[in-house]
Amino acid sequence: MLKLQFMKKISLILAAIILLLSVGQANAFIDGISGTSFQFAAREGRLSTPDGGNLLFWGFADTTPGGRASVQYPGPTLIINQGDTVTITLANELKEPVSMMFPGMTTLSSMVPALKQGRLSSLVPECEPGGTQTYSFRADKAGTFYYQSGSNQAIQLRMGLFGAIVVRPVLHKKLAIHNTVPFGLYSSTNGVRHPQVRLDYNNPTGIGGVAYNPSNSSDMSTVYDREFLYMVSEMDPKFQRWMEFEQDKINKPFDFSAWKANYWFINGRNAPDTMGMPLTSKNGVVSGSLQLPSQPYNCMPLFHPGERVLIRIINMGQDFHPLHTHGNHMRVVAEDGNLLQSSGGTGADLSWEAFTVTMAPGKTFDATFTWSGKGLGWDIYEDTATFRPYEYIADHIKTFTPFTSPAASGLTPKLPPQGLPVIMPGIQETMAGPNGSGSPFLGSKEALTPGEGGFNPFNGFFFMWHSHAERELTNNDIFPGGLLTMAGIVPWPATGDNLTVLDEYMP
Amino acid sequence: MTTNKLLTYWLALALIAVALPAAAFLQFPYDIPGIVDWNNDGTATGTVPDFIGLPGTPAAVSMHLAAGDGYSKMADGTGLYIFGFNKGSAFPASTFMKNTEFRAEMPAPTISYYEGQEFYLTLTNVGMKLRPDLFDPHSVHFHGFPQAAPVFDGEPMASFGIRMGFDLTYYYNLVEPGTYLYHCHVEATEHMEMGMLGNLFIMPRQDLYTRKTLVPVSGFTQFAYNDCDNLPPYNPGKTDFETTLVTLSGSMCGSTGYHVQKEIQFSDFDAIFHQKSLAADVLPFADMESSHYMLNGRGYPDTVGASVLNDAASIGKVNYYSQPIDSKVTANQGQRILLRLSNLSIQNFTTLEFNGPAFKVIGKCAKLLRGPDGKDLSYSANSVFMGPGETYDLILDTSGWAPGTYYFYSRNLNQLNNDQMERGGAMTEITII
Repeated sequence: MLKLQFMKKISLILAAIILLLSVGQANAFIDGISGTSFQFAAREGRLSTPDGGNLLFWGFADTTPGGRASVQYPGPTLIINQGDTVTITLANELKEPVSMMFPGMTTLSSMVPALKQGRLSSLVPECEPGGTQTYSFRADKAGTFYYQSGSNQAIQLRMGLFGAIVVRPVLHKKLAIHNTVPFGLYSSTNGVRHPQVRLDYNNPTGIGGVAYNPSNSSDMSTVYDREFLYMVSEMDPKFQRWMEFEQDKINKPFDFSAWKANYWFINGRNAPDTMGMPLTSKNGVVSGSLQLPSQPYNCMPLFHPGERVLIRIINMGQDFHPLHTHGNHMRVVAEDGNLLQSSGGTGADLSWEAFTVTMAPGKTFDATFTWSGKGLGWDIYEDTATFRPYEYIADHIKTFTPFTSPAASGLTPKLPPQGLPVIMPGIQETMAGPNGSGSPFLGSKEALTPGEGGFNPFNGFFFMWHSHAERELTNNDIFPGGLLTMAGIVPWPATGDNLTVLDEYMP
Repeated sequence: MTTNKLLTYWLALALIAVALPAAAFLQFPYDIPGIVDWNNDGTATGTVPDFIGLPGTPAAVSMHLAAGDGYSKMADGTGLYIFGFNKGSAFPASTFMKNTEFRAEMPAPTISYYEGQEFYLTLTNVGMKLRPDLFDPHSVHFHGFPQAAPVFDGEPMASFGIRMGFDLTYYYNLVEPGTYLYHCHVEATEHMEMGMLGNLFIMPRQDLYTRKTLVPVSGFTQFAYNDCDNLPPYNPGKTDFETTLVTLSGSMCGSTGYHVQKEIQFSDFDAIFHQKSLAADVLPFADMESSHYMLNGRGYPDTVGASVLNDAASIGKVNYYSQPIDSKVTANQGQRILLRLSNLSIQNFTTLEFNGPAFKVIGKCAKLLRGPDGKDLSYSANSVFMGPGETYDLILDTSGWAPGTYYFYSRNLNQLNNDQMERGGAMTEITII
């Protein structure tokens, strides 16, 4: 029954995706605001959870002229350039003082803590209710960072007063040589390396880039084709309700020793909402997931075989969360906005690979991820006629003779696809999920269990990227949900594919 | 209702309700090395070629797992209902169900083969004998194995699980050595809490190279990873190495060599969750709190004891050893020990501490701790902090250690008890002779 509810929810999201295709949505990128001067407001709002609930939160709103203007969880992602001086004027619409601080940045505004009646009120000067306060900092380093309130953090960070900062390096899109050097190539086309179709990190209008300044023109350690934000947080609904309905610190104080998270978020949403469309506001046109007005950011990495993806990981919660990527290892190249290098000019020579990264509270990680199917031992493409980009050449057109004849079993397995080493079970013998295509092959589809599937319009390979503390895959007692999203390997377009549709999902 | 009464009650229901097909469809039956039975009649119809010309090491290997339910016995005597895997490779297809149902093991049978072998893993869902209301599929997720494809990944949103009474064969080309783990990924929070967890590790081809060449590296013939720089690959047909004339060398060459290896998996159970599962009650995900902390499915002192014999004889299951894997390590002074650690708790981080001299952390997440340019990133430590879904490889060099019993245990003090029973939990012994 729970599964059914989940499927219904997903169906709604799919419906939204289909409806919005005509709007021209860009999925698969980091949404945020750019510039050097912003106006923010701190106010309260409500967020929706996939189990049908809603929770009070405090968040930041981008009230800059032309901005989204509504409060959101998490706060607006700042995408700025290394060396920029950024000024934020904060207006406080809450009933207690708030502030903003920027760990890892060079703060230019006052760093004098705020005291009230002799006691610490805020780590930085704060903004009284109804008042405004201006903060400014210089982004001296490239990398992945965050901002957060410096006031009454045990309350205010649990309530959601934080947001991500992405600082683009000086050399972002400036090293022309990167455009000509292939990387992540595991295969070739007929012995010739496949021309790069999407590796446009150097294209001024492209989505690719580099996360940290390369030490030289051959340093590829943080070059990427696509980037995704993975900002995790959690909430205890008991606490959020206490804040909403009681907040009586004298007669009915909240027992913080009993605080226990039961909602887990990626970019402010619980699964399966993580996989819905983002809510975007461009040129005054609001589009996307209108059902989630205060949770604009989704998290659904979509990319092609051979592409290198940068995952910007931030843990804004109070608990540890182990992030497990199905499909392949990540390579962790930076921590807390610092490239993992032994000395300047070596590239990320101290980087490490992991299938699970423990995200400690307040830490950020940058990790790269590439998938090509290298070494699977069978050809992932059913269409054996042509080579596909980044196809692993050793497995091309490999065929198998099954060890066992299906007739002997008396059951009803599918006929053996010659390209697969084993015989698949019949569809009535399996229970398939929403992201399957029914086919073991990339870019192919076959019949699915009745009523299943439909969330894989490109017949891609999907991999769950999720917290391996599996209790966190629930939404307040309801499985599945929480800290999970599905990353999709979308096959490179073949001749005759509708590229317009593809481009709307994947810029 | 007491647990025992519940057991009887459900068993009565189960006997009426569950009628499963009797045969299992094995695509590569029996894991007797090298033998293939094409038509499941129990007679070999062919052989698998030797892997790189090593007799007794077939190029393709297989295992047959049953997924179902069972019963476990905690170190404090508490009996807990579990879901789990057990090995059915020895049973012919015709009696497979009868021999494997209600015999779940915690942890699941260890999967361990060599880099380069092809592995056929057949999974039969033998159903939930004591939960006739459940129709859950099962799967095997080869956790952490690089370059996966959804069809063999066992994650049911992107692929599928196998329904009760049916079989599914996974295929893995074991291309990367290291310490992984495996578990059922269907309704993962529930099935993993219920015990569908297992050890999985792939031994490196450097072991086979030293076996072929008869030339040990720094005196070792077994290694955690391929740690030499010039180790040749297999030839394309995997009939041999490309060359066996190379003298292995490199800055880390031999650093992961060992004499004794042991897999140790940390996990925990919430007894109330298991009792509610048996009672077909609403599952308490929100209120989960672990009560029993374990290494390889047992709390101390069972971790160093004999195979745990279950009480299930009363319901017709004799010789049911539900927790067959101990965590005891014994080595001679001067030997090197490789510990393959994993954490498969679904909610707890753990710091495992050693009360002897420092060990070396040489691997993490099935990768040798080595930078992309070859830098040695291994380090010495006395404890290792491990999150759910992580694995670590430790080398304990016992040279000069005083003979005696050393302890390897969770430093999280709440993990050192078996529910109310003190002096227990996630702890084991390493004996140096």
